[in-house]
Amino acid sequence: MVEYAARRMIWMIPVLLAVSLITFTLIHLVPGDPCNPDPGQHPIPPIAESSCKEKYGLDQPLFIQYTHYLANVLQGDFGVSLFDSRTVNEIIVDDFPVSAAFGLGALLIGLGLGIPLGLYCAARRNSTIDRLCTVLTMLIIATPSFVFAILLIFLFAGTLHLVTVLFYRDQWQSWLLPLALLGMRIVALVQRFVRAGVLEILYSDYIRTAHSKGLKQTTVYVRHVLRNGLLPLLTLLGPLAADLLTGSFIIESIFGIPGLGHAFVISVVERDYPLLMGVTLFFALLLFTFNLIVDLSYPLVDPRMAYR
Amino acid sequence: MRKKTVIVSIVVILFWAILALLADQIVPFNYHQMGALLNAPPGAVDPATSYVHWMGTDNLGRDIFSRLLSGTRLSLTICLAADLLITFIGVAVGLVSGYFGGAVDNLLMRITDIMFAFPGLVFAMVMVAVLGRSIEAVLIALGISNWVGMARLVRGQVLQTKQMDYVLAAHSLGARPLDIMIHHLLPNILGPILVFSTLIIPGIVTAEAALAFLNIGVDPSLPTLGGLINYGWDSISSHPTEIAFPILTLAMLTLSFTLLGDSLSDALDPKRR
Repeated sequence: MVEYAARRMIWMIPVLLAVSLITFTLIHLVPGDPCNPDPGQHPIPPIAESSCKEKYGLDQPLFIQYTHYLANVLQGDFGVSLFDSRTVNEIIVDDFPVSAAFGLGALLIGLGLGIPLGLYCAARRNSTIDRLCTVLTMLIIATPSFVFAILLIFLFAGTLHLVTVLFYRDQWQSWLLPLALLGMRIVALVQRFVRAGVLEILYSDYIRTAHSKGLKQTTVYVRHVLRNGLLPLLTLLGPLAADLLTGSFIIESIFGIPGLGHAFVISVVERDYPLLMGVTLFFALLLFTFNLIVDLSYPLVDPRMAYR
Repeated sequence: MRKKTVIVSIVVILFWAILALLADQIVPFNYHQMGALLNAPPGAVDPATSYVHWMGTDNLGRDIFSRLLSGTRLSLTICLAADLLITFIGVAVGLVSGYFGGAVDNLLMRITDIMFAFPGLVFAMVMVAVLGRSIEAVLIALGISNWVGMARLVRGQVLQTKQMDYVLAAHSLGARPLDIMIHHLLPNILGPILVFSTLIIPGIVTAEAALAFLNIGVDPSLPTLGGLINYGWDSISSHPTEIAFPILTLAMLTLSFTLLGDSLSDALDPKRR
C-alpha cells in the first residue's frame, strides 16, 4: 500500500507540471494585455505600461516567466491577483473553506439521502415510490443545475420571499438554497447508483443461498446486501467531486458566494492569469489527492481489490 | 415503456431541430431586430406591423420566439459539431493506442491522465479564455476537453477486438495497420462508439449552456440557449417569461438526449436488457 501510494504521488509530479505548463502556455497565448487591456478606448501611457509589465515580470521571455512562476509555486507562493487586492494565496485561503463547506455539505446530504432512498427503491422495486424516484432522479440528472437554480430562486426567493438570493456568510438561511441545489444532484446520482448496485446483488446466487439457509430478511440485507451493494459507492466519489466542482462554478456565481469556484470564473472572465493558474493547479491537486484517498481506501474495505 | 420513451425523446429532439432549422422561414424577425414593443408579454401584437410576438419581446424589443429558435439552432449546431470532434479525436487516439500498444499506448494514456487532471469544465473555460468567444472557440474548447472518455472506451474495445481471429487473418494476409484499424477494428466497435457519443450529448449541451450562462461562452451578440438564459436572468423578477422559454427548451432537450442515450445503451447492452 505504501509503495502504491508513493508511486501515485510521484506520478502526480509530472502530471501537475504538465497541467501548469499547459495552462501557462494557453494563458499566454491569449490576445490582449493585462497592463493595457483596452488600447483602443483607454490607452495606458507607455511608461505606466512598461512599469506595470516590470512589476509583474511580464517583460521577461515566456520561458523565464514560467520558471520564475514555478520556483515561486514550489515555495508556496502563487503570486498576486491582477484584479483582486489580495494575493492568490490569500484568495485560496479565504475562499476555499466556503467552497469546501458547501462541497462537504452537499456530499453529506447526497449520501445521507441518496443511500437510504436507493436501498428503499431497490427493496420495493417498481413500487410507486420507486417509479417516482426514477423519474425525479432522471429529471435532476438530465437538467442543467442552473436551470434548477433559477427555478428554485424564482420560487423561494422571488415568489415566496423565504430566502434572499444574495449570499451572506453569517445568515444560515442563505446557505439553504445553494446547499440544496448542490446536494440534490448528488442525491440523484447516489440513489441511482445504489439502487442499480443493490438490485444486481439481490438476484445473485449468494443472496439466494443466504435466503435458503433460512436467514431473516433483515440479516440478509444487513450482512450481505448492504456491504456488497454500498462498496462500489467509493468509486463514485471521484466523479462526484468533479461534478461538485463544476456545480460550484455555477451555483457560487449565481448566488455570489465568495468561494473558489466563483473566484475561478472571475479569473477566466477578467483574464487574471496568476489567479487562473493558481486555482487551476489547486483544483488539480485537490482532485488528485481526493482520488488517491478513495483509491487507497478501496482495497481496505474490499479485500478482492488489490493495489496496482 | 422503453420504446415509448425513445419515440417521445426522438420526437422532442426532431421537433426542436426542425423548428431551429426552419427558424428563418417561421419567424418574420431576425434575432437581433429590435421592435417598438419593449418587454411585451407573450402573445403581444405589434400595432404597427400586426405581427404577433408569441413569446413576447425582451428589453430591446427583440422577438423572444425568434431569438429562442436561433439560439436553439446555434446551441444544437455547436453541440453536435463538438460531439463529432470528440468522437473523432477519441476514436483516433483510442484506435492507435489500443492497436499499437507498448510505448505509443503508454504515451497516449499518460496524455489522457493529464487531461483527466483538469477537473470538470476547467479546461474548457481556460480554452475559451484563450481562444476568445467565437463559435469555433467554444466548439474546440468543448471538443478538446472531453475526448478522454471516448479514447479510453475505444482503446478498451480495441484491446478486446484485436484478439479476434479475423484480425490475425487480416494481419497475416499483409494488411497494413491503418487498413486493419479502419476496415476491421472500427466497424466491429461502432456500436459502443455510437452509444457513447449519444450518451455524452446532454453533457455537452449542458456544458455549452453553462459556459454561455457564466458569460464565457459564445459572444453574447449571438444568441445561444445559455446566453438567452443569462440575458433573461437580469430581468427574472420583472419579466420571468423571458427566461422561462429558453430554460424549458434547454431542459426538454437535455432530458430527451439523456433518455435517448440511456435507452440506446440499454438496448445494446445485453446485461441491462
